[in-house]
Amino acid sequence: MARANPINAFNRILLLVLGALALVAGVIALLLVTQVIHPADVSPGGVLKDFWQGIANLSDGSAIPAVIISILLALAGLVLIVIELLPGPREAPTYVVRKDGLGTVTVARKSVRQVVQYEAAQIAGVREVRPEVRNGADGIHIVAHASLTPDAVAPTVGEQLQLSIKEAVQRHIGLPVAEVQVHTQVEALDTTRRVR
Amino acid sequence: MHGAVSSQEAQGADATHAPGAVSRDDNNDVALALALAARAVEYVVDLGAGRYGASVTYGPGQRITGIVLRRSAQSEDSAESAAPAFVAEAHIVVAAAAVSSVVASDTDGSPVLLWIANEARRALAATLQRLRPNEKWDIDITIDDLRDGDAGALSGAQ
Repeated sequence: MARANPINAFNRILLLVLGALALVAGVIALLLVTQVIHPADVSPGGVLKDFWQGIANLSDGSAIPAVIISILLALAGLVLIVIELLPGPREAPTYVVRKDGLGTVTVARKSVRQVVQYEAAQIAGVREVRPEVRNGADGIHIVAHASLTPDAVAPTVGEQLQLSIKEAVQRHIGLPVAEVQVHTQVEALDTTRRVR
Repeated sequence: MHGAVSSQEAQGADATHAPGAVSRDDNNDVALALALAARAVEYVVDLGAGRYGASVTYGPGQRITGIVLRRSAQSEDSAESAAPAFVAEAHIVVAAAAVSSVVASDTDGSPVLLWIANEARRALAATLQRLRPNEKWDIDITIDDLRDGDAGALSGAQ
């Protein structure tokens, strides 16, 4: 279901390279304009020496604009790198259940969580369940954090939860469930924890 | 001229469809009729505005939540006459009671939420056939939410 797009990967690499180039060029230009380094220092074998010399010459007349432009170029490169290295967009908040000639049927992730909670509420010994739902190439992955009553036998209830949740999501929604992880505890679930 | 304009989510499962909102004089009436048709489906208790509250059709002095009418991206991109020209989106809220095992047995073996979505799609298709008989429509249904509703609401008529 979730698959990396090779065009997106190429675009990200391209932008990373461009960002790195802008950052390096901006820093070198800044150092040249402020005469911290000389064109020969950044021109191994004379490559681009004339170009760097032209930038270094800016220090004579228009040093301040050249410094500002160099800083902006370096910052733009840095921003580009940071943006591209940040994690990609969050998973789509809906799951496609059916797509045919008539249109598409999708289910919001929230609804999948509600089905899990509804099913869990039917099981004796379960006080509360907080599910996390993730999409995977092989189907839906569900992690259910469950608060049990003190008299509940955790391994038994946990196994029952696993089976019921998987069966319910497949039966009620028609989405394939690849995995159900159940984490049980007797204490109440942390109410401050945010579940996406 | 007062054409209704549909708003919609920029993100979503089907982001490949460009948000080309349909703007026509009677769109408000069509959106309203679709909303009524969707609500009349068994176990549909309400219509939702989508995750970002943007699945709404705005008309003169009126907003219809949960219905979006837009142009199909396919119809804009290709000259293929078989491609649907328009897309109607409905964001439905289903009664939580629908996932009980009693109801599940009435769905001819298909997943109950999918069955409800198909019923909604059928209702919307019939409405569009009546109101826009010469146009091709795709109908996208999103189950936005499950909500506890009283038994009387399960008829869906509101």
